[in-house]
Amino acid sequence: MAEQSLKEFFRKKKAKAGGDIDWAARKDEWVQTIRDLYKTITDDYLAEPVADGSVAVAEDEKTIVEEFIGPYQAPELVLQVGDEKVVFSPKGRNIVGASGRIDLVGEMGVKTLVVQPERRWGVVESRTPTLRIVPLDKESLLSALKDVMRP
Amino acid sequence: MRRVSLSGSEKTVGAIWDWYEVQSRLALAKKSQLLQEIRSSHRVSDPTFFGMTTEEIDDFFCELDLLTMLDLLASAEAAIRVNFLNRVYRRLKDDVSRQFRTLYKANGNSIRLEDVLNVWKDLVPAIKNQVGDFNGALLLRHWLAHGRYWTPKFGRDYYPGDVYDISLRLINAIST
Repeated sequence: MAEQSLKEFFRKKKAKAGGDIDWAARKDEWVQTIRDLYKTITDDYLAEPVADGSVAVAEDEKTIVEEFIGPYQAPELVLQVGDEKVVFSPKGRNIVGASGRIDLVGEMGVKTLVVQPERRWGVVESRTPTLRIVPLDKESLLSALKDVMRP
Repeated sequence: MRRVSLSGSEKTVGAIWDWYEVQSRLALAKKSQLLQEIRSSHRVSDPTFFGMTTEEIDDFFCELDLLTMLDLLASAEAAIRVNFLNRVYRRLKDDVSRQFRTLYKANGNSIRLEDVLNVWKDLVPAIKNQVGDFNGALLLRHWLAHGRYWTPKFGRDYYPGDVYDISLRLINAIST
């Protein structure tokens, strides 16, 4: 009798929880989304400053550990401008309200980039009192870099 | 020497614990909702949490535990100090009260809590453990009360239940 009750309990729980989530696929898609972003940044947004040598670009790896997904490697993008460094540092796929987050970390602060529907990237300008996210493009990247780098 | 005007407004550790249990249940419900939002993606019920990872959500709600522990330790401190002042003002004749009066004459109202506890530890060996446990928890109290700007070394982990037990055991021990 008790066994039947437990069976029923978990059957209902599973039905309420919805379908199984393919966490490995989520992680793979997330890492690919990061790589695609870095390609857009280096080949498009920063193509000219990279070409004229005013900024050096390198990739590194970091280990992220997330609930359900476990540990995995994700690429970091490092911009070096003279003696100043800015890092695009992935924080995780599983975040509130979006499908992944990268922190843009500089000496003067941190800006948050998030993946929105259709794998569009946005820059979080404010959370409260009003959530404001602007699409990531050359202009918003410049603004974000100004915020986190030395004046 | 000017007497401290006792307010009678101090909270008891029991009242703090009741408050914590209610807040804790509310926080858990909110946390569960947020974790559900993470799994389903893209729905933002509260922009305060937008972009947070599960680890950051844990840290956010851990604040309730830390603030509760500070409140419990502050409440215990109030009980110890009120006990101290009452023994001084009433001129009780036991050894602890006599020693408190000596301390009071030397330090006035700026007596250190640690000095009060040392009297208890030295003159009432039966409650040495309760005093020792509370002294250990005072490291947590100082860290919390002074803004957590240094890396603490407590020698053990503290949770609200531990701090509640430590505080209550000492309060009961000095009140008998």
